[in-house]
Amino acid sequence: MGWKKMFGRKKLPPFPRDFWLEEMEQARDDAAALIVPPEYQGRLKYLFFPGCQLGASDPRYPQAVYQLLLRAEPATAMWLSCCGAPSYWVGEIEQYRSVQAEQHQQWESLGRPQVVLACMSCKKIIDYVLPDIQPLTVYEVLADSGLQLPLYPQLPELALADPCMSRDEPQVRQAVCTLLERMQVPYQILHQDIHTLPCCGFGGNIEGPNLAAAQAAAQRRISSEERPILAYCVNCRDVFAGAGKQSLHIIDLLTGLNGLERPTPHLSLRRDNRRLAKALALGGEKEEFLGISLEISEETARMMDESLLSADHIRRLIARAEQSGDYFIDEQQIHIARLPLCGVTIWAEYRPLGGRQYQLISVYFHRMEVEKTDEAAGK
Amino acid sequence: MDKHVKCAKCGEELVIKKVVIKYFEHEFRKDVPCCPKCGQPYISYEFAKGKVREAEMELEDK
Ligand SMILES: [Zn+2]
Repeated sequence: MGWKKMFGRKKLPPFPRDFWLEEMEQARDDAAALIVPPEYQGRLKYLFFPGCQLGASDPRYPQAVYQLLLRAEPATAMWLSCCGAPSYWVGEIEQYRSVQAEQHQQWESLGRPQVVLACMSCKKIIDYVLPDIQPLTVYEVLADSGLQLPLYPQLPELALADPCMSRDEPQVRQAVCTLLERMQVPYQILHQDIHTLPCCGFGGNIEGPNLAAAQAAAQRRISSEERPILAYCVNCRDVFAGAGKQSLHIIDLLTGLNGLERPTPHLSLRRDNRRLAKALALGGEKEEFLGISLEISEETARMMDESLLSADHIRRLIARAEQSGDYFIDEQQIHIARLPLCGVTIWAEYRPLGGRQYQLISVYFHRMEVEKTDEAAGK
Repeated sequence: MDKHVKCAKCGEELVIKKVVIKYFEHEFRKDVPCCPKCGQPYISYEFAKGKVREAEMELEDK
C-alpha cells in the first residue's frame, strides 16, 4: 500500500503517465503523415483519421482501410496523427485543447472535408471539443457505400463487443451490424443495452498505474464468453487478445488482414508500428528513431511491455552511450549502459551488430539514485 | 563479481567502492562495483532485481 500512498503524495516518478504522453507526441510527430490525392487537392470529400492506436496495433490497418475508402470515394485523404485523448486521460487539459485546436486548423485548411474516424475515443473527444466537425466513422461510411465486401458464412458465431465509448452511439453499432450482415458473418451482440456498455480496461491510463487491473477488467468482461470476440475498437481487440481470447477487429473481416489468433501487439513496439504504418502509407522505407535499428526478442519485448518501456527509450539509451563512450563492456563484448528517465534509471545490455544495428539482450531499471563518491571501499 | 566487466571509456576493471544510494528522503551507503578512474557505478541486473528492489520495497512500505 506504500506505493499508493507515495503516488497520492506525488512522490513517485511520473513514469507510467509519461508513457502515454510520449505515445501521443510520437503519433503527432515522427509517425504523422498527411496523404492527399493530388487530383483532389482543395476538393476533398473525406478526411480519414485512423487515430494513434490503429497503426500502433497493426501497421497495415490504416493503409488497408484507406484503400477501401478510396474505392468508395476517391476524393479521400488520410491523416495519420492523434486526437489528443492520451493527454485527456492523464489530465493535461491545456495540452489536449491545443492538440484539438491544431486539428481544427488542419481541417479548415483542407476545406472542411467530412472527417471519418476508426476509433470511438477519437469520436467522443472530437464531438465534445470540436462539435462543428461532426465526424462519421469508417463503419458508417462503408455501410452506406455500395462496396462489394468479402463473405464469411463459414465463420463460427462471433460475439460482438461494442467499445464502452459507443454508449451514446447506437448508429455506429447499427452500421457495424449492417456490415456484418452484408458480409454474412454469424454473430450475436454481447451486451445488448448500449447505454450500459462495460469497459475493456484500456485507456483512462489504467495500465500505467496498474496493468493487472486492466487485465482483470478484460477478464471480467469476457471470462464467461466462449465464442470468439469481434470488436470495432482496436484497443478492445488487443486487450481481449491479451487476455487469451480469440478476437478479431471488423477491419480484419473487411480487409482480410488477420485471423482469429492474432496475439496482442507489444506496447513497447507501438512506436515502431506507427512508423511502419506511415512508411506503408507513403510507400517508403520505415525510418528508425535516431537511426538505430534494434533486435528485440519476444521475451524482452514482453518484459518491456510490463514496465511501460518503449523500444525508443532503448534507442535513446544506446545513442547516448555510444556517443559519449560512457558504458560498461563485458568479456563477451556486450555493452551495458544506463539512461535516467522520469526519475527511474533504465539499464540495457546490448550487442553491437555493426553500423547502427544492435541486439537488445536485457533491460532492467531501478528507482533509487546511485551517486558515486570519492571514498574507496572500507570493508 | 561474477561478471567480468570493464569501463569502456577508461578501459579499467571495476573495483568495489562505496556509493550513496538515495530514495526519496532516505539515503544510505553501499558497496558497488565502480570504475576506479571515473568512478561510474555499475548496477548489475542481479543487484537491481535483488538488493535494490528489496530496499525500494521496504522504503515504499514505510
Ligand atoms: Zn571509467
